[in-house]
Amino acid sequence: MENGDLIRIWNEGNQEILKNRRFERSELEAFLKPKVGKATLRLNLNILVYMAVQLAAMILIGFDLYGYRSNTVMLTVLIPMFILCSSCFGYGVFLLSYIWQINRVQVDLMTAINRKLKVYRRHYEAWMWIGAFSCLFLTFALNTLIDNDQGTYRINHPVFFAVICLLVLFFIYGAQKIAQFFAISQIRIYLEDLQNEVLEGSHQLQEVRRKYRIVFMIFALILIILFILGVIKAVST
Amino acid sequence: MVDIARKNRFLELIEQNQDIVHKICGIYARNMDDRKDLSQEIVYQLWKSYQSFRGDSKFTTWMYKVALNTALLNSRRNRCRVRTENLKDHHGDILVEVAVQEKHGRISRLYEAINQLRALDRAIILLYLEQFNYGEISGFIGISESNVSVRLVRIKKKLKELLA
Repeated sequence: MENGDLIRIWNEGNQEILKNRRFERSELEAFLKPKVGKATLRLNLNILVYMAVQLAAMILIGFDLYGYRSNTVMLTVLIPMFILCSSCFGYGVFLLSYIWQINRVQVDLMTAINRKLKVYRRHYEAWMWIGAFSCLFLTFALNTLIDNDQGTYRINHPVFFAVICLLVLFFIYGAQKIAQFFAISQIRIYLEDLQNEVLEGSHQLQEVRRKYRIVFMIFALILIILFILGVIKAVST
Repeated sequence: MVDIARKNRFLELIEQNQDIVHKICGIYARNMDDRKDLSQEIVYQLWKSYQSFRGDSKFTTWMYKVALNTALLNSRRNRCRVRTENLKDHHGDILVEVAVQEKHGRISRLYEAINQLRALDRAIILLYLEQFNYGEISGFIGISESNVSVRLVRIKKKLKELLA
């Protein structure tokens, strides 16, 4: 079978086969609506939920800042917390726009794979920790608002408090990790496979190049030896 | 008003070039249900991307790029789906597929052979069969031209073995 035969079978066969597979305008129009239950939609929803948590925490911290305005210790805790919350909110906005742009921007496949992998490997991993911290901040802001005793807040057992905070943090992170495990890991494994497929080709190409380089060097060496022998013979005669 | 006009223009273009969607679905979907799902996903992604399409390249070239990326990034559905589907559910599909295969022997065998290739290789051979040059294929996939050439030699060899 010649190379051209493949193209001929493809063109002639498709002309026949595609006659029966036509979408009507109404079907195409129906396709323009997104399908629900996709992993990326779940991802977006997760980001939106934690952004709402951050927003709520920022509002409560705002009230706390007013309530503890004369308490310098509380202010040194609440102000960085507010800055952190707003930065996390900003990161959420960035992440949403990044995910939104991945499919919209016209890029080559390799770039698309790398961008998606970057979301799942780096950004989303960071986001799960941010989500856990956001919940902790919200709880803390709520507690300090309710237990505000004329501008003072007392932690009776600081060690116990710190342990509970850490446990809450790991619990929320773990819950998210388990909840997203199947959806995210399947996509990630598939994307990594695709990336490896692309890279494998590059490795094979490098091997082919190395092989040709060795053949070229042997050939060049033989030519040089012949040239030197020729020169020696010419000089000696 | 502008949006409706834009949407109509888009639908018109997709209707004219819908063969591209069918060909890509033919090599990435395993059955009729998958084909319909993938077609929907491709058309939806094309519509989303159409907002940023400025006409720097030909519409069909842009369409191949977006559709192939969508098919490749979404074909995990077939791989990850637990294979416990009831055969009776697909009995109708199978009968239709068999009828199509009998009617269009050679092209069906070619599709079947392409289906046995790895995901990325399917994209490369599709672009080759659609007569894109190595430079264009390299631009679609994001690998070098020489890499495309090496891969194509291997893919064509495998296809010939499968079709022999």
